[in-house]
This record gives sequence, C-alpha cells and structure tokens, in this order.
Amino acid sequence: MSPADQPANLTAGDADDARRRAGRLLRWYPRAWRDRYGPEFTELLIADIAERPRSPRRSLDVARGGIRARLADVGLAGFPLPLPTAGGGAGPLLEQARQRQVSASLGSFSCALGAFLVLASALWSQLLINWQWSALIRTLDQDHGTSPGRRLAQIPADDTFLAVFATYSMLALLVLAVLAALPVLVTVAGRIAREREARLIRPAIVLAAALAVLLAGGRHFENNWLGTGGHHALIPSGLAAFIWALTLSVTSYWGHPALFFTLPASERAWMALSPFVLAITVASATALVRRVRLSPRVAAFEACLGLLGCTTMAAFVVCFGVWLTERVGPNPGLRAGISIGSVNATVIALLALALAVAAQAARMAVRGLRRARA
Amino acid sequence: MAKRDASERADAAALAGFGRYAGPATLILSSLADGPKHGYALTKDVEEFAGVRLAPGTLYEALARLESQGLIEALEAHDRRRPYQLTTAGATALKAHLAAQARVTEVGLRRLAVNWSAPYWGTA
Repeated sequence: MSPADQPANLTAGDADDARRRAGRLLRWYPRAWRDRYGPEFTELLIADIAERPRSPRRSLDVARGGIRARLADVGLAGFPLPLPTAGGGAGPLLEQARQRQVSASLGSFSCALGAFLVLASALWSQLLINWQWSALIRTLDQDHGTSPGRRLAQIPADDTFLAVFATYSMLALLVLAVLAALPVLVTVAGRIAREREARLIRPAIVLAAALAVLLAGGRHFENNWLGTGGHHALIPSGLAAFIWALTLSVTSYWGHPALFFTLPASERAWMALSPFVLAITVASATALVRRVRLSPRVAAFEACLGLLGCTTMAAFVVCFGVWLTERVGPNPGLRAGISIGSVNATVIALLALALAVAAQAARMAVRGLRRARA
Repeated sequence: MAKRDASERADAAALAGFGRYAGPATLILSSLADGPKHGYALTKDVEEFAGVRLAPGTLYEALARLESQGLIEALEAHDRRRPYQLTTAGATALKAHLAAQARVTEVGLRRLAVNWSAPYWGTA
C-alpha cells in the first residue's frame, strides 16, 4: 500500500474523539454486522472523520446503511447478512448466510403473525359481542321470548356476513398457525432430545410456561364472556370466549379509570398480566423459529403457509376496514350498537402494519429459498 | 457463439442484480482489479480514478453484497484493516459488465457524433 492509502495523522486527542464518534456511528448496525465488520469499518470511519471532521452526509449514509442492516438482520431487507471471516470454503459460508436469512425472515413472520392474531382476536371478539347485542337491542321492544334463531334473522345480512366472515378468517389463520407451528415444534423437540441445544431449551421452556399461563387464565376468565346469543351453529362460541379472555387487555377501559376500577380485582390483574404473557409467548416462539435451523423442505413449507397466511390476514384487514369506514352511516344494526373509537382505529392500523411486516418477511423467505436452490 | 453470448450476459447480470449498488460495485471491482485493498485505500483509489467518493456506509454495503455473491473475498486483517481481493468470478463478472458498458458507450458516442456534431450546437 502506498502512503496515499494511509489516513491523515491525528493528534492523540483528535484520534480519541474520532474513535468515539466512529463508535457512536457503528451502533447503528446490528451486533452480527459489528462483530464481522466493526473493527475495519471503525478504522475507515476514523480516517474519514480525519479528512472531513463534519459531514452530515456521512452520518446519514451510515444511519441508512445501519437501518438496512438491522432490517436484514430480522429478515426484512435484502441487505446481505455478514459472512464469517475468511477460513473454510466460500460455498458453505454462503449457504449458512442464506439459511440464516431465511430463518430470520421466518422468525419475523412468526412475530408479525403472533401480533396480528392477538390484535385481530381482540377485534373479532368485540365484534361478536356487539353482533349479539345488536340482535337483542332490536328485539327489546318486541318479544322478550324471541328465540335465538328469530333474533339472528332480524340482524341485517351484511352484519351477519361480516361476523361470520371474520370468524372464519380467524379460524383459517389459527389453523395455518397450528400447521406452521407443528413442524417447528417437532424439529425443536428432536434437536433438544438429540443434541441438547441450550439455545433452544430456554425459549422452549419459556414458551411452554407462557402457554400454560394463557391456558389457565383464558379458561378461568372465559366464563365472563357475553356469549353469542345461541348462534352456535355459525360461531364456535367456546373458542370465541377463550380468545376473548386472552385479549381482555385490548380495551378502551384503560382510558376510563373510573369504569376500569369497577371490574373485579382478579380481572384487572389478568388484564395487566396477560399482555406481558402474550408478548413473551410471541417472543419465545420467534426465538425458536430463528434458532432452530429448519431443513430446506420445512422452511419452504413454512414460507408457503406464510403466503397463504398473508392472504387471509389481508382479507381480515379489508373486512374490518370496511366495518370501520362504514361505521358512520344510516344503516343501524351492528354498527348502531358500538362505538368505533380510537382503540379500534389504532388496532386496525396496527393490523395493517403487522400484515405489511408479515408480507415482507414471507417475500424475503421465498426469495432466500429460491436463491439457495439456484 | 450463442452460448458464449448467453454466458457473457449472465456474467454482466451478476452486477446488474445489484440495482442501485451496481455503480459502487463496479467501482470497487475495478479498483480491486489492480490488487487487494482495504476500505480506506479503496475509497482513495476510486476517488482518484473516478472522481467519486464512496461514503463509508455505501462502501461497506457494496462490499458485503460483493462478498455474499462470491465476487470478492476478505483476506487476513492487518492492523484492524481487512483487505479485499477480486475472485475469479468477480473478474469475469466485471469484464462482462465493462464490455456491455463499452458497447453502450460506443453506440452513444457514435450517435452523438452523427446527430449532435459541432455545426448543430447552439441552433436550437
């Protein structure tokens, strides 16, 4: 290397300052990237800072690159994941990097699907309650002895369609989630039994514990479910009650403390605890998917289910989007009995965000698998 | 002949797949065609021969892409700086990409010479 390839000399003080600034800029990047490129990138930044002490363009460039690297780290961008340093053949290293990219994408998909299921369940169970009550409101001034069948017939057809469509979208998502979870759980169980992989044992134990808490809490509080008014032929009410209990925390009660404190203490405690347990469940499931190293066949199966899941999620979001936008209108019925406030609007916005993340993750997983095959 | 054309197109496409990073990738590969260099040496060399200063984030994103495609490879680090060198695949891809660019340059210059030569300038 010629002297021109060497950076300008810095005084000791300036060098320390440059190193500190380079260290701060490096924090934009994820740990795996820093482990691989950190030292050499820091040296380049120090040399650049020595030549151009103040450069907003450099800071923006590093921030942009760091954000892209972080998105790639969670499988949401095409920025390449860092390869291990030289040593061993390039082929196996590339293969490992691609596998990690696919695992990261599938992990992000699990996370987005988990968040979507929680929020969608809350919205769905609320919809079902109001569907039930809209029927009762309509019959209140008529015949108190009206049978459930007759009450159902009095609800506008589009409301019934919405409730039933949302229900079967939710069920389809749950079935897809179970189908996706099974091969992952089988692979995890096999790895733990055969290889005692410590990095799988901890999230597996946390996941099992969180699911046990959710099962116990859900079964206990489902008794408070307001029911589907006997529309059992259309809505699986037992499941609806259980899911409603799991998502009790997604409510506008938080914004009305006086009303909130009228609830029993145990219910308030569950409303405070359950979001953390749900978050832990989603986080541990995501960690397992990221770490388990699925075989290419299972990964391809998961990616395929992911694309199907995105379609179902999109149908659900459109369904509730229509519900939200048609809320203000002359048509009574379901929409007359409920208030679509900021909670519903926020939940629908979050559902759309979760869908966007899931779709990007599924797309990146499919692309990674195609590249691995090529 | 047709087979050779297809192969050249595939080599050139190796860089075209870089999208907006094709520019930095071409500059980096051209610099490494002269021999292994670390990040700072690459920046200075590119600045010297192309008049473009690659910002650190852009440089390392392009390096990571090239490395993940097997077009360059990292060598042992010296004094916290890691040099990179061109691989055979990288040299082939660069050659095909530059040849394609040269054809475009040639056609463009020829058409400019025919339609936009000096007598027409300033008459619009």
